[in-house]
Amino acid sequence: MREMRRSTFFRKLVATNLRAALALRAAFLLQAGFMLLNNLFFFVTWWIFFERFEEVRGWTLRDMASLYGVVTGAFGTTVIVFGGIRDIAERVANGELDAYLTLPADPLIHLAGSRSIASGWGDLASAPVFLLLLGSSAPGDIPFFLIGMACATVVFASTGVLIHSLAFWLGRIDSVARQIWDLTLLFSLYPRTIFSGALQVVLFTLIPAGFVGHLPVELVRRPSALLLVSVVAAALFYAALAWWIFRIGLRRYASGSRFVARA
Amino acid sequence: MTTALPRSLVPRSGLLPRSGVWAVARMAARQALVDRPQLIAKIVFYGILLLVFSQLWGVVLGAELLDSGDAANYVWYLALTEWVVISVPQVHLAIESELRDGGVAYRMARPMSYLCAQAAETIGDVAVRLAVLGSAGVVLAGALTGQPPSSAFGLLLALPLGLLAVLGLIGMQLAIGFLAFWLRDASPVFWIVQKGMFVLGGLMLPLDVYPEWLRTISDWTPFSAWIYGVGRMALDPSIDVFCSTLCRLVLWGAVLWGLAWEVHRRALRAIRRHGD
Repeated sequence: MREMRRSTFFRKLVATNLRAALALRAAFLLQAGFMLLNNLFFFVTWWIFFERFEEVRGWTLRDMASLYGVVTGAFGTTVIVFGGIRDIAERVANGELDAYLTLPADPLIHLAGSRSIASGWGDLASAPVFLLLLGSSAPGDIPFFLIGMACATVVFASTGVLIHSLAFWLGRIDSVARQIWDLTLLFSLYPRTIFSGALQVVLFTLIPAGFVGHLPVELVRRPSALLLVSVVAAALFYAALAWWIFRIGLRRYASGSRFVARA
Repeated sequence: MTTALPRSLVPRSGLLPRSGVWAVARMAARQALVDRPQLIAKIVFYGILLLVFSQLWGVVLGAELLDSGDAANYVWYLALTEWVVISVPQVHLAIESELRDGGVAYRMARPMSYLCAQAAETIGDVAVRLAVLGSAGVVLAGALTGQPPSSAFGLLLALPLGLLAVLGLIGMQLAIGFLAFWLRDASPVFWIVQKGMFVLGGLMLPLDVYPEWLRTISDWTPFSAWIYGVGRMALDPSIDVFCSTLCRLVLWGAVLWGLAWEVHRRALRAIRRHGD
């Protein structure tokens, strides 16, 4: 019952944010359209790279396109649905969580869903372009792509919550937190095969770019039950960890006694 | 008993605009120095980019050597191109925010043009970033490649080019920032220009690797001078290349600053007329 109330609240929150974003239709279309162009334009660099070098330890341009499809899709979904994660550290440092704590809704869900970033739609729209047009994936790959992208979204959002929750202990780290979160994205946009040794371990633990890009794209490239279980298990693990760390951090939260009204 | 104010805080009579600009730049530089977490985050980001690319070039060039250099030189190339790009703050966001919240109206009342004040602040901030990231870049690239660039002379030549490139980039960002007066949100324009810079400037890959037609397009943009022009000093430095890049940087810098001035003038004129 409680879980149902949570999901209903979250759905309504996302729907409200969407309506707010669509109210400024021109700005919304401009941001989403330019982000789509931006992603395609940036991919030109990889096209030039693979024209010259053909492959990087087994990775070809098609694999890169699939990787971009999964990661842009996951990033887009994260900033559309959980756009408020980017502001958690700042709100914690400013003592602005009071308005969330006094409401019956779960504070993490409320915070994460408090904002939707319009440019995320451009990222989300890039995903099928990369995957189906440039990555030459077959329609049969779509279910694996959707599962991979959903799990990547959960891992990416959870990583954001984990990093931003450090503000409960470290204070004003908002800009650093955003940059560290961006690192997860940065690492996930390069072929896994270029990383070796200790860096591979880091990419599947501290900076889980492996679970945001590399493993989900393997699921699309070579689907198997083991990969499916690994991707889903990683998503559940990071979500639980983020939830737990945020809860512990919340106990250390000190109000800024600021008057903030939230509907 | 009287307490004397520090000399830097004592207002001097007849403060010329030029010294005012200098004072704003100095203050911004001090703020940038104090904001250590931001500087450290930039260094970490810079280091990670170099790490990723040293691995990428190591893998690619392990199998195939390019004519113009080896993996180490390509890492040094990236160290120079990223040095220029990471050193420039996103000043368009600050302008956009002030245009949105009305902060620009307060700034207009000051005895210094809004453009000069923004430019001075940015240049002060950039001066610190250039020095800190430049030093970090030499250490990081040296550590990752285990060797200096094939020509240390090239690094010296890259210094003035990097400074001019950054000035040109600031001019471009100021122009984009003032576009927010008409567009409300100038970020989409910035994204496209930024990606143009990455692709046509040769941020990740030297333009030598590009197909001929794309290289020709790139040569007609300021991006190749700002990015490839500086990075090239790690690959094949020469006085001729240095001089031609210098001329292009000065030319594009003048064009972009002229554009920034014109967009700024029109935006402020509209604000004075309509007040929105």
